[in-house]
Amino acid sequence: MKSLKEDYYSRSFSHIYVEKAAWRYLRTQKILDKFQGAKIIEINHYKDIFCRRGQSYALQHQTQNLLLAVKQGNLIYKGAPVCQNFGNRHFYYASCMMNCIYDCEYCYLKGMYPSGNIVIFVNLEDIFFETENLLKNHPVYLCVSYDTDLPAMEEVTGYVEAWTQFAKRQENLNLEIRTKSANKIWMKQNPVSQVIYAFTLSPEAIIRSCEHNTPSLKQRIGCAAEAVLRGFSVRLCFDPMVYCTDWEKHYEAMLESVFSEIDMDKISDVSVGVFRISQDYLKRMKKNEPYSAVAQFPYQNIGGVYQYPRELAERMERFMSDRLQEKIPEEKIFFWKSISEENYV
Amino acid sequence: MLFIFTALYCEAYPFIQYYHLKKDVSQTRFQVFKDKEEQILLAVTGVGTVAAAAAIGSVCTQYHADKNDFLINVGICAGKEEKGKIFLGNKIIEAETGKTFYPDLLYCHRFTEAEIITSAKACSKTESYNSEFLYDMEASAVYQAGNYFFGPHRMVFLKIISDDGNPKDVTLEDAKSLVAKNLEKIAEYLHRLSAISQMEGQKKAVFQSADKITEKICRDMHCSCVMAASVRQYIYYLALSGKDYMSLIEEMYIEKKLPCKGKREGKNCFEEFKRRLL
Repeated sequence: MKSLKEDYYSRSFSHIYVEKAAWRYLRTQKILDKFQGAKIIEINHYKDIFCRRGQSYALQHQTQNLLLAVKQGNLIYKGAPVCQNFGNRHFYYASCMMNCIYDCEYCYLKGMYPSGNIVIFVNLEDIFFETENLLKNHPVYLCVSYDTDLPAMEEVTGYVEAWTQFAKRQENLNLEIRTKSANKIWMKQNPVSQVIYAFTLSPEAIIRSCEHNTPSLKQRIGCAAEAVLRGFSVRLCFDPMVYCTDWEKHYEAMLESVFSEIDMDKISDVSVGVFRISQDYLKRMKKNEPYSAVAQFPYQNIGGVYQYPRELAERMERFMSDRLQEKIPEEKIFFWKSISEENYV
Repeated sequence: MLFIFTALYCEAYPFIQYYHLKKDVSQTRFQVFKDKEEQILLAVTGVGTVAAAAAIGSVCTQYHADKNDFLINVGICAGKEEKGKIFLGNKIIEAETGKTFYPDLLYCHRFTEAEIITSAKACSKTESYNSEFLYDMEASAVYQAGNYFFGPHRMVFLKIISDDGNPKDVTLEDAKSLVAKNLEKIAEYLHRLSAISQMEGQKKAVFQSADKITEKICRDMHCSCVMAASVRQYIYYLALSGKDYMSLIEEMYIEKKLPCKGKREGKNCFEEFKRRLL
């Protein structure tokens, strides 16, 4: 029997919206060549589609379409306080794509963007140029896969390779490329010391219940393990830790798989943080995901950031910290610290 | 519910026959027709953008259009392709302002897609006529007025070619038969939309039982408004995560923790309720 999705909903990328200005870029045609059967609709500005009133983020995400646009204005942003800076003073992120092919119920993008469609900015070189300008003033730690998952879309965009080649030419640039993907296409390049590949890992139960369309834990661990073997800098992100019934049992099982398959001595560092989200984003996320247990959890608002109740959050972080310290030095484990955390103590 | 809007009665007539719609005689400003089950409502707006916007505003308010409903705009248009061919609009351009509107195309369909130009005047073959587009007189207004009630994923624009820029050649009888010719295809699509609308409505059921129990607990805990909102959030979370929260609540009743005697006891009881959950 066909599923309802097959019966009623269009396939993903059935329509591609192309900004008039994007036609000038060779990359636009290259991307379009990957979607031979798609209907192409020309638009004046990506916001004409992306920022329409009354959109359904959830439905659009089910049948995602693609927008090709030219990014204007600010191309690089200061890192947000809810994000981990790994001790880097000059922490920035770049948004060369908006939205992700993966559908994680807890993803902050559901509270940040009005649309579930994917936007690819085709003027990557302009973002490179702005990065070079920043580098004239100070070293830069730049996260390029925050508002999307670049490795998951590598076959379409080639952006992981482009960023890696760019980073190779810069002295004071450190890049983080975060992913839940098990796509190994980027491994065909030689490792570049300034680029760190950050794998977000979650227990299989969490993956199945709320990280829709993502690779299994086994596939992600396999990919991270191979990257380590090939000499790439690898970061493991147990962030966000998501509460569920029997969370200790699930996280324990996940760590056992990680420790048995990944050479922890060769891991660059580890990031740990329980789920947290700004109050504005959670409000929109709840509206966009009315049937998601993660979105509807009764979080506590601490300093404008919604988090698990303090006692639960501490239990989860302590558990993870204790187990990780058995395999990795403490200084390599980074915890997200709430702005108002000091007020707790 | 499906809200169908046509500009002319002759465009509406095939739908009225097919779905056995009955006129709502309480309506005096616009002609409104409904089926027995109240799953389909059809309104005749009149020709042009102002008439269309006024009718949509009035009808959608009176019949309480909500986010699970669909708006369907069906009508004849000008275009270069063969007379009688039906199109689904994927982009609407308002000729006078140059503004563009994009209905979402999330559902499978068997129509050819096209861009629609809406103009205050009936399209005739003048210098500005571009054969790549369809020309109508309502779509942009239907989108803008409809967007107050429906998201872009809930609005559908179906246009049937009646002429190639010679509107005077089109009779009312022509318009009726052109819609009738495409009715089976439209009805099949409407059936899908109706099923999607019902499917979305059914999802709400999970909250209905949760709302009932929340009301009872809040009463028995002597909750303030803020505390009641917090209780509701907990119950919603438990319902969605598939936990057996009913047993826990029953347990508290058996242990005589509920009902509480007053607000203070209610507050302590809620704290214990939360502790037992996580």
